[in-house]
Amino acid sequence: MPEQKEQNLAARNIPGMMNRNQRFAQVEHAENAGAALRRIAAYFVREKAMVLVMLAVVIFGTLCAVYAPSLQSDAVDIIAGTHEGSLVSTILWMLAAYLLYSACQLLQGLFSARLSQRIVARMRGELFGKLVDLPIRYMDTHSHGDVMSRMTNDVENVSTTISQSLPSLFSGVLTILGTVAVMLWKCWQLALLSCAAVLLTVLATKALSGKVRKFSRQRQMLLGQLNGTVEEMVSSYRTVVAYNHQDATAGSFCATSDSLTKAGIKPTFSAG
Amino acid sequence: MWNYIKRYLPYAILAALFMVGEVSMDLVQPGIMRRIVDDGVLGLETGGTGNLELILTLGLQMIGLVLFGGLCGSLNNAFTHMSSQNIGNKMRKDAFCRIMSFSFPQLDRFGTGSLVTRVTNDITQVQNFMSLFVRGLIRTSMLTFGSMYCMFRLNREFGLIVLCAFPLVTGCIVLCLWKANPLFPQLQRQLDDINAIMQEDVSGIRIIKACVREGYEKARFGKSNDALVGTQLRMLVIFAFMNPAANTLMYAVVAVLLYAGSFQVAAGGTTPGDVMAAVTYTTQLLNGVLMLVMIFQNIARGMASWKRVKELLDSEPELKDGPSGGSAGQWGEVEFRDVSFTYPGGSHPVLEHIDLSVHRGETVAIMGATGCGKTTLVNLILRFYDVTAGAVLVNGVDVRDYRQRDLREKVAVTLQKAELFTVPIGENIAWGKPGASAEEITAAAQTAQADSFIISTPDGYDTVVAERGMSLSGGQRQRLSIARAVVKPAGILIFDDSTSALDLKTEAELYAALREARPEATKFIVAQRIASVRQADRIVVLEHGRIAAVGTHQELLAGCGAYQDIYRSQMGEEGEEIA
Repeated sequence: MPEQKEQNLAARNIPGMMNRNQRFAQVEHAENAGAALRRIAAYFVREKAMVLVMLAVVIFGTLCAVYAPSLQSDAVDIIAGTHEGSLVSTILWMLAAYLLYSACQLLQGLFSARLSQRIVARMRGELFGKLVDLPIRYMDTHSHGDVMSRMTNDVENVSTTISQSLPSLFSGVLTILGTVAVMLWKCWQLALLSCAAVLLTVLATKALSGKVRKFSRQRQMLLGQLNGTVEEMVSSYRTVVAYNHQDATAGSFCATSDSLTKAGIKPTFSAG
Repeated sequence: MWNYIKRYLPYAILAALFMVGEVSMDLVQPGIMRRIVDDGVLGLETGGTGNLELILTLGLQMIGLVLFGGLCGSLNNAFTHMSSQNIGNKMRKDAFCRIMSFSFPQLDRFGTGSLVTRVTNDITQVQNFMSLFVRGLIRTSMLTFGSMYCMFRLNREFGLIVLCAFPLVTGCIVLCLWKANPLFPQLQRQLDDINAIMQEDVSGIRIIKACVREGYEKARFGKSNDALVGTQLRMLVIFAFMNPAANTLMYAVVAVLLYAGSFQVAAGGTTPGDVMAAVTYTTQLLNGVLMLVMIFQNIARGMASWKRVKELLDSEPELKDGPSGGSAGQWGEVEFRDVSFTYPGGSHPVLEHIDLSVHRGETVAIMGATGCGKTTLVNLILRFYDVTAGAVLVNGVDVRDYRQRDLREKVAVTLQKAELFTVPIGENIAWGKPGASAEEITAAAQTAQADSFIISTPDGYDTVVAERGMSLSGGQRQRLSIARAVVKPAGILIFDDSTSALDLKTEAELYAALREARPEATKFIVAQRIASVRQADRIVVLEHGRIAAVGTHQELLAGCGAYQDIYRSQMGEEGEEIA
């Protein structure tokens, strides 16, 4: 018991001990996905005004998008002779609905661009500020390259996800709700059938996305490792050259690169 | 790029074929739908009665085709990624190996931050571009042209209506892309800047904290961050216009189709099912066009990244190998013949007309004020840079005539800034001699006076050196660096200011141990302290890039003004001698 305590004391006092098993890789699983999501949500909360306006635009746009196809089907029915009404006015209303929808899409795009970039800028700034304020011990025990990779590659991942998925997330949820409502209103039997099919899809997606997530994490970790290697070897290039270590370094880099490739290929079988 | 694509072409072709399969299924759908509506539901051909059986049959057919399409889709996805990831991998490996072959002028030109971005981020962009190209372009063109074709087959007039809208849509997209194109390389450059700042600040964190410059650095980062975000925003705004514009045009087409279709149906030229199918094809066309928009975005970005990667791959190292491998055996003779040197891009020479002959086994010390060219002088022995005039000879052969690896086998150096790696201590030392036995490593560490602190750690030689050795004291880092040089079986040892962090007692023990362990090696000691150099066979005093005097400690003390000044300032007026 006392030996263990002594060992732990040494482990804490001699920097570098912690890092034993993993050279560059520090994989931290989101211990609490809920907490992580809450933190991300906090960024959105700070942009309250824009989020609300965007929500309003999305709602309106989605209403139009859901209404227009029903007008479209009415038009087809009129043509087929099974529905009463003026074709021209139906078509014009349909066009108006679609135009409004496009205008909403434009606004949505502009807002989401602004919103996502503001969030990413803030995130990056805060991340950097945190890094500079952290005690030096953190830098000593974490790979510089990995840290840099988080700042660039990982934040870029977040940025892409937010800017590309944000509009879809907002409008997707509403579209689903709206479409289901209209479907049920028009013909509930067909609606139920469609919902059953969608449910199956959702279940299948959930099962597969777990696998994809695992590989995504692995991929980002390996990317961080690669970053670390390049950064370390390039900034210490004099020593690498002086000791003719280029081949050995290149060899270990290539090995990591191959692992990254494997991690990139495996999930595609599930994702397809 | 074709070289890279060539190797994995079979995968790409397979992927393309499966994509064709998937899209074909998509194209067939509306046709079946039409039949279901017209014949199954409306029963146009059977005089108004529906045909449930037909609906079921066609429905099953549809499901079957969708499943087949899905299968094709998965396989396509897999093969696409196989080809793109493998191509990206090869590119990445080649890029890194190319970096490893660089000479210092190249490294200085690119900068560490930019190299990191190019090898990681840029190659990822190229990879995305390739996979999107195979998947997206084929799918989209098939969808687009397939829809057009089916539309025309369905009804010529409908086809013509859609065709009219096409140029407008294309024009829209081209305009957006033209505006966005210059932004892509700008984006990557700004990522470079961020990487560079990060790299500087992360490795120089101690200085930042010591000088309380956190606020300044945050502001500096903030500026680069804002610039990057600004560019990204501009790009997103441009692309935000593309979708709605294309959408609007297509919906207008749908409206026109419905209107025109009504006349045709009334005239009996077409069926409601046809009209519905036409609308479906139009929507598919729209989807295709929108996907094209996204693809072109990525293509443009990918091409910008590819240019940067290509720049890296095409760089030739400035210093080329010579033919000679030198003689077998480690001699240790070094000669500087009228050597002058200016750094590439520098304005004034750092070294001028240096003539020096060093014999085998000699210990030569190089002294001088800061910035007089001491480190530059010894770097030339290793051929880190080529001399501007004159020649440096090692073992009688001009360093430029050596194969670079063979030259560096003959020289072991401890750099001014000790560079260690995130591997165990033992492995760090073994860099000097790969495959060195534990005894050799320990012996080298003992000579370097490092063994005592190494064995005091619980893991000893297996202790992993944390990030760049920042967790070790300056003296410990230097001693490990010295051990690494000592273990190397080289005829020439260079110690560039590598005992500055050691106390005088340890330093003296070090030199004594060195004399005992490697008596036959030629040693260059660059130092600032008289105590470090007084035991040398000869001391070279450099002043403003020229040799001011050469001699033993006694000779210089008697005859060299500069040396006397240094002595006096270091030893104090009493002239106390330290053993």
